[in-house]
Amino acid sequence: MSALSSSNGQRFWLGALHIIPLCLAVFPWGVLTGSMAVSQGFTPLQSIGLSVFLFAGAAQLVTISMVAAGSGFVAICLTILVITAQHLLYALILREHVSSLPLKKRLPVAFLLTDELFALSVGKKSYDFAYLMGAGLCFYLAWIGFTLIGVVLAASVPNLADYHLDFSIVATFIAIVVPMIKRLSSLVGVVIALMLSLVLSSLAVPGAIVIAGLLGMLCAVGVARWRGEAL
Amino acid sequence: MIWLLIFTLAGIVFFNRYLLLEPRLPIRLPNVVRQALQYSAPCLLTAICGPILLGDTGLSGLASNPYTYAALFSIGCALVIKSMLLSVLVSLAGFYTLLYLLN
Repeated sequence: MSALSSSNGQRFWLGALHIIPLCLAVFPWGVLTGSMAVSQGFTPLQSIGLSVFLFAGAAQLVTISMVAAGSGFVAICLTILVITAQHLLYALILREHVSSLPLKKRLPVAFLLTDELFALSVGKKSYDFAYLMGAGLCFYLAWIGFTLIGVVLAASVPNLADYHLDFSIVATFIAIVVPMIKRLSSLVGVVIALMLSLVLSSLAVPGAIVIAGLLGMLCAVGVARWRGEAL
Repeated sequence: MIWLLIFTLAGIVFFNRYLLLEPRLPIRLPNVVRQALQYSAPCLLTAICGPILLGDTGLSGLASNPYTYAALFSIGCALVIKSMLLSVLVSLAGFYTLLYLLN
């Protein structure tokens, strides 16, 4: 309704305005992503390239830590394929509003489709192109800017590896994962993923992280079906 | 090599974001896949922590590794503190306090 009663320009800026709180919320992650990349041996340009081309915070941190851990090309690609698979569900939900747009509009929406844009769009029930572009571009520029700050900070601090920044990944992921565990099935999945990851990694099994994660997911589904948990 | 990886991964992420926005694609995700995807974030994020927790010491070093105890503290923080950001900050403060006490 509001899409019809206001111009595209207004909708664009409204989207940008609405996503500002979410931009502020990811400020620390953006800085962390930039500084982590530099501290793990990415060049400043590559560190910013991750944000410019991937534009996916968790996937970027995963890439950085897997490269630092010496994981193989294929293992990293498989992990990223699975870990960003939640976007399939976002696209599925936005599909009825976006799939009717021409290709040149679908492509930018897809590129800018982050957890945050999805949450905002669904939360505000705003699915028009101008709104999505305003919010998505604003968030994109903020993310690159925050990464840049992290890169500059990291490049100006010597011996960054001595500061054990890698624990911030663990702390961040724990803070994300713990609130997600609301059922026995997710608890079982996470515990199995952790155990397998520790054991397989200590045996230097290639693709340890993917194998551990996928088996954890399967066990979680098994428990959910066994207990008759609703979807 | 790193640039090739970055562009390949960018392609993979974009593929996941675009695939179901394509109108010509008939949608039939099997139930098991849909259900398993709900667990992809917690299980994979947890699996990624494994090698970081191991560090250079391996399985036998876990009991004497400050990362292990700091991770347990982080879990406690996440259970008690509702704000994700605050929870991370408190657990990092705990981690660096622990390192300081050990040195």
